[in-house]
Amino acid sequence: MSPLPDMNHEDHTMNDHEEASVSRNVRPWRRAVKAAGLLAGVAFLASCARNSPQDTWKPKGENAQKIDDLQRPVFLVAGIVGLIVVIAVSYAIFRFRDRGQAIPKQTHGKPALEIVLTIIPFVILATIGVFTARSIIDLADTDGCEMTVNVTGQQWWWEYDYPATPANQKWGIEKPIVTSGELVIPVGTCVLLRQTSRDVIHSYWIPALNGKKDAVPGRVHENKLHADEPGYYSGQCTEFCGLSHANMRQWAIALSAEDFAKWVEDQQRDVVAYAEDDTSPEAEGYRAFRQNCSRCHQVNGMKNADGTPTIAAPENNIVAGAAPNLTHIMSRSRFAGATYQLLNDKCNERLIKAASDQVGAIYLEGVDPDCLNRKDLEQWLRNSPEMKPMYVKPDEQGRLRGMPNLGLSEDQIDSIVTYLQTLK
Amino acid sequence: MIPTGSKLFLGLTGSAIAGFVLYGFFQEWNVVGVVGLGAAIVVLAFLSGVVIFTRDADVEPGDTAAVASAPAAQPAPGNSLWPLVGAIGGGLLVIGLVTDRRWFVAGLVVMFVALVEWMVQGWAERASADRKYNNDVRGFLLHPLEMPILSSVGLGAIIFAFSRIMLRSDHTVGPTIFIALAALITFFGFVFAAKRRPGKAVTAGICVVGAVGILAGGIWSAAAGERPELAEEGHIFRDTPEEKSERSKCGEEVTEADKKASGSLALKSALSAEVTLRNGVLEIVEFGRPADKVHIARGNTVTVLFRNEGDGEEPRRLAAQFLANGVDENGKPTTDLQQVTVCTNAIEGGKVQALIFSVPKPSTAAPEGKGFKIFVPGVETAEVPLEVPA
Amino acid sequence: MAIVEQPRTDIALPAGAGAPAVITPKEAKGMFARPVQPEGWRDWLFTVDHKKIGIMYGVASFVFFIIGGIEAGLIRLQLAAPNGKVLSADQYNQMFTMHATTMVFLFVMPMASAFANYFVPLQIGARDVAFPRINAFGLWTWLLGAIFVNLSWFLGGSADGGWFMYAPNSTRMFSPTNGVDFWALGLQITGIASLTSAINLIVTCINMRAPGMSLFKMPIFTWMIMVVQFLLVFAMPVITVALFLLSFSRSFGGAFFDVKQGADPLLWQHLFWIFGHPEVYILILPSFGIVSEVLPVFSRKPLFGYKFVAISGAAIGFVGWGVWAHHMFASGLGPISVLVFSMATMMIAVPTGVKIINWTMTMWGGKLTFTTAMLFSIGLIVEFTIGGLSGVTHAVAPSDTQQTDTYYIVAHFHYVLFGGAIFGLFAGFYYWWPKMFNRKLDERWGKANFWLMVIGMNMTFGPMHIIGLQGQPRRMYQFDEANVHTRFWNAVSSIGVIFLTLGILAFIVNIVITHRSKHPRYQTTLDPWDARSLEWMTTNPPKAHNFDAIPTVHELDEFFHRKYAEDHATGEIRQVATAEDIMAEQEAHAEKNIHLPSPSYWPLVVSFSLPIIGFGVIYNHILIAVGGVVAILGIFGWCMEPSVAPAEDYEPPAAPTDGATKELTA
Repeated sequence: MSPLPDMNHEDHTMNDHEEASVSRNVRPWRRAVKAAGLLAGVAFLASCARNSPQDTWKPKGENAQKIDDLQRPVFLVAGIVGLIVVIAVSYAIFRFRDRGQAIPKQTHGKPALEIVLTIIPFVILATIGVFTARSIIDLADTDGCEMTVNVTGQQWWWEYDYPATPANQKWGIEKPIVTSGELVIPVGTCVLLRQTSRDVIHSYWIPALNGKKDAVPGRVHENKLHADEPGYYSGQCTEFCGLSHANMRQWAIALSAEDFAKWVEDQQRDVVAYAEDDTSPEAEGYRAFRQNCSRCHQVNGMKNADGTPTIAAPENNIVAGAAPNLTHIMSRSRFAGATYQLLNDKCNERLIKAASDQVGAIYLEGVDPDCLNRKDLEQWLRNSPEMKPMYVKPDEQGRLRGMPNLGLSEDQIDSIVTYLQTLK
Repeated sequence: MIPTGSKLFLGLTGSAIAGFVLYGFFQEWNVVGVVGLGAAIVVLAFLSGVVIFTRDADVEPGDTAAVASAPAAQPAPGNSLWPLVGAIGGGLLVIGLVTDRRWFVAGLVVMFVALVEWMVQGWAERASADRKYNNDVRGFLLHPLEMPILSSVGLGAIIFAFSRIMLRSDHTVGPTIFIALAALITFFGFVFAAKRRPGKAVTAGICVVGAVGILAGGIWSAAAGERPELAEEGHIFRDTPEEKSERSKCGEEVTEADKKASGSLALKSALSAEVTLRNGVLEIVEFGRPADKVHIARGNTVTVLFRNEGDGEEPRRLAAQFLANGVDENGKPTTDLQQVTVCTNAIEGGKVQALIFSVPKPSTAAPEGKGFKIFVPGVETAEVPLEVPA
Repeated sequence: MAIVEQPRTDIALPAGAGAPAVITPKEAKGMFARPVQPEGWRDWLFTVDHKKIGIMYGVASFVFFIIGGIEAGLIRLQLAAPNGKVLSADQYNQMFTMHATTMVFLFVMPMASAFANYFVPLQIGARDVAFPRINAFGLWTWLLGAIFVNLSWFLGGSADGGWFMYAPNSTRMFSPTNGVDFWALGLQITGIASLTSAINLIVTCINMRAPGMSLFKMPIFTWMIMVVQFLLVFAMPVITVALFLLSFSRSFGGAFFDVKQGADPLLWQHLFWIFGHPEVYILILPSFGIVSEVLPVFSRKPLFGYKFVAISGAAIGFVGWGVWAHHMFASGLGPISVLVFSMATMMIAVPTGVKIINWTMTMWGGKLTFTTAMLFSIGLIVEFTIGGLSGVTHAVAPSDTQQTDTYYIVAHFHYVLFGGAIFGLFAGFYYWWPKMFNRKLDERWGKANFWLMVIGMNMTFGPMHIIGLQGQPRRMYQFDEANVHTRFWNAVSSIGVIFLTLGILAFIVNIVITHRSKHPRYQTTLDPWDARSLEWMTTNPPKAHNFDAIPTVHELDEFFHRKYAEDHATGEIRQVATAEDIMAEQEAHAEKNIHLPSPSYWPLVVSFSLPIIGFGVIYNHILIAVGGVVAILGIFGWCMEPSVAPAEDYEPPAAPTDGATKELTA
């Protein structure tokens, strides 16, 4: 995490970035002074040096690749045009500076030259336009998608719902799967996202897999993701959505077909309903959770004391009318809008640095007790608005936007954390 | 500083204030008197302001100009339109009393306008010996009122007429009108540009013809009604007794149908599913893909489009049934679950309606998901499950 | 204001002993006397002189520039390192909302108005704008609206929805403070100012040009201002509608953006950007006009392809209406709309490119002197080109879906607006300062100002290209190093702000030194730059009536052609007259009977009614009625007041002393 770029690491990534850097580093002639030149050089190197998870120039799927194939030549052309302008201006400055020459002829221009110089940019842009048009049409085509996920944004987290449609049943989804923060998709497959929102406008973006698409309340927008290889891909909400916009993250985890099938199977399991007279720590936690958390958070399979299913009522407590379903929280690697790690640093490092053939296995392990980031999780239960700004002043109907400080005792927190660890 | 003429009004204002206070004090702020005297204060204060403002009747000893404009030097009053207008207003008022309230109001407005104009004209004609000057004085006071009111009324009429034309003309006529208009504007643009500046009369003529054309078109369109697809889709049917009992499940009847439900911009992008009633069963299409259930997310406002391709002319509606929290007598939500049904309006075969709703509870809240369904009341076979994940 | 005692026929005045020859009704007037020859602060408050109004626009908007700059500084301080703690999330959201709002509506637009007000009448050889009192009304309304927006800082928090204020995030449910109300109503008020000023300047440009000045002999700055005013006339109603929908949704329970009642939130986006995109050209075209004035002067050549530049400005004005949805490529418009708007956006690059080419060609073959104004103009060419080219990269819609809402866009529009609009305005400061204040800004400080700003802006906004392409979204109060690896570049960008701040300070120091020092270096001659257009054909600063004699125009660059002539035999350009000669000749033929519009209270009264109505909407509806009454009375008084006070309203004629004294009928 050194603030200075790693200077030795640029060789193999340099080509990827050559075109980009041409336009990024277009600087006026004045910047050719030593210090500025040095800075530009550093800019060039540093822009290539780090392998940023959200780099928009590192496509890992066919949609992002299509965009990349289009933008590289455009950046190149833009860079060349920029250079020509800078050179022309610089030449004019040096060549025509006042050296006591006579007042030049008062010419008002040459229409022929003007027209030629108008047509040239027109032709360049028209050429770019043809390729752009093709890509737009290609990227909007979702007919070939084999799987559908309903993606719903709300302040400030994403919900994914895999409906049991005829197409999804082919992937083993017999009853709906609801998860949040991390979108799990099969590799090499076109996954159709049907995006919408429960409150304000959000935008779904996994740079390595595709461009953004807004999630607008009342509308359902189609988006598609496609990952070439298994991996752990980072993204963020990119439409300003209020107070904690910065803490609304998303990840896409691409799994091989077998791993995905296993994940689907796991996700469809309901939790164990502990007997009311069970005094094990897990059962205590179960009851503490039911008492304090299940008003908003659904856990499938949880039962009330009278044996009826526990159905959360987020619509009475939350403006968006939804809270993350925690049935399988420990199968995920993040919580709180996918901002905080459920895994401790060591295990997290292992996951995000995993080779693509390892990612699936490691991800499916979920959060083991020795991997749990207990500190953040407990702190979250202690005082969540302190960790992630949320709007906890109730509106007229007594609803909040986000999770309030529940005033739990340390015993309750311990107990709930113990229970949460069973939710794999 | 205070002109002579205003002293009367200032005095009256003062008396009104005194009366107001005294009345209030002794009559314990009885509403009638307080309002009456309060209004008198406002009116008299306003009049005082006007008189001070215009410095009416403020003649200085050295002001020879005022001498020249003394009433003795005034010409005879000129012609006036306002008695006639006032009489018309009175006529309208009487007609309105026996027929329609709106005529009555119109009569009042006309009479009021006539009164104000008449008063100001009368006042202005005494201003000086110079007719032109008197006329200017009148305009000076009244133009700030007349101009904005007349222009708003005129513009309003043209805008309203234009909107009627647009609502009347269909997809072919509308563009044709605009192409023709654009061509006309271009033509006149060229005429102007070619420096053959048309005279004022020609320009005014064009504007008048245009305005009259739009007004006439608007009146005709308003009389002819909106274009058929706007007016007819989503027609509300009168209830048959059977219908009524079915719909009682849906709560209050909506009194306005969605117009052109299938084509509005929002709906095209908002559909979670399209449900078609055909041969007594419901066919579901979600995002171009056929489905056996309607899948929607919990707590989301969703739009489901209903097409009635069903049996004959029988009007049908689409209904969605699900569970939600009940509400106690204070309007606060309770934790017990209640069954809720929402419906579209009934539409006849070949028409389209949208159902916008939100389901707060997952279908797992009901045993086996029963009670979560989309159906057509009155057609028993037309029923599909509604799946709402937790 | 008096009605009955205005004499209609000449009446011989009684020549009593010691009686004044002129009635002095000043004392006889009632309480509604109009201001007559006010002095001191009253002079500025009630003035209708376009030059004073221009200066007031300039000073006030510069204050807002500093406020907006402080907001920007706080934003960069927060983002200087990962997980910044300088501002809370809430404060940060307010900060970036108000930074953009301030810079767009309260600095660049009014600063362009300042130049437009001051120089359009001078450039076309007019004595004032067409409607001087509306001009004053525009100024006060804008200023009160601007203050109104900023009052929200002290009344429970500012708007926090971003300057684009997307619904439904801006509705009461998601933004419960009054910030958005202040924002919407304040912009509504400044919008009224923009609309009235726009109509005023259009009428001025069309009707009040000096004899002989056809549209294609009109100086290019005036041309661009005219295009901008047309844009304003058509764009302002759109944002007005949008703001009404927002205000009604928030204050009166309107359901325009309530999805549960069938609304579509994209309605706001369409309305906002139909206004918002022309707005971009409203911001940039005045600066294009300024550099198109400055470059020819310091190249000693006419603007290359003057007609092309003028027409391309108008073309930008037209095509600018067909590109709004390029702000919405990720909004879910559908591929056909995206395609059409993508193509239109690329095409608008053509007329913009024409301007860049023409400016370069203007310098080509010239005789260049690098004054500060010239440096800023050249700076604009280069920086704006960078911004324009990065604009082309996201005109390509698929590429834009990767870049939109990241810092790449922030970089793009700061190159366009800082490197473009603001550099242009600074070129204008340095170029026109001698004209406005009869002092010449120091060139050494000026160059320090320029270089600090160039380094500062490239250092601040240049790295944002990289930050954005690395995937850091905008409008985030904190960034996470693990996610985007932009710690280094964010730090560089924040350090750049120091240079920018020093640059602005250099400008302020320059002003102070210039006006404090008696050194001859700061004295200016009548025509310090050997300029080309009409505004230089009068004194510095111009007299209240601008020109002693309205010039008759024969050429584009009339002033230059009066000073220089081409020797037909040799083709050499020779000086035939000095500016002083031309001035002397004008003074010799000074026109008599110059009637100037008189100062007035009414614009101020009407302006004051608008914030009252605004407060009424927010706090207590009775205030709406109060404001309405003030407005109606104000308008009534305004309508009944003649634009020129009768000659008797003035003191008996005294010998005119300086430019501040109103000319009287002889």
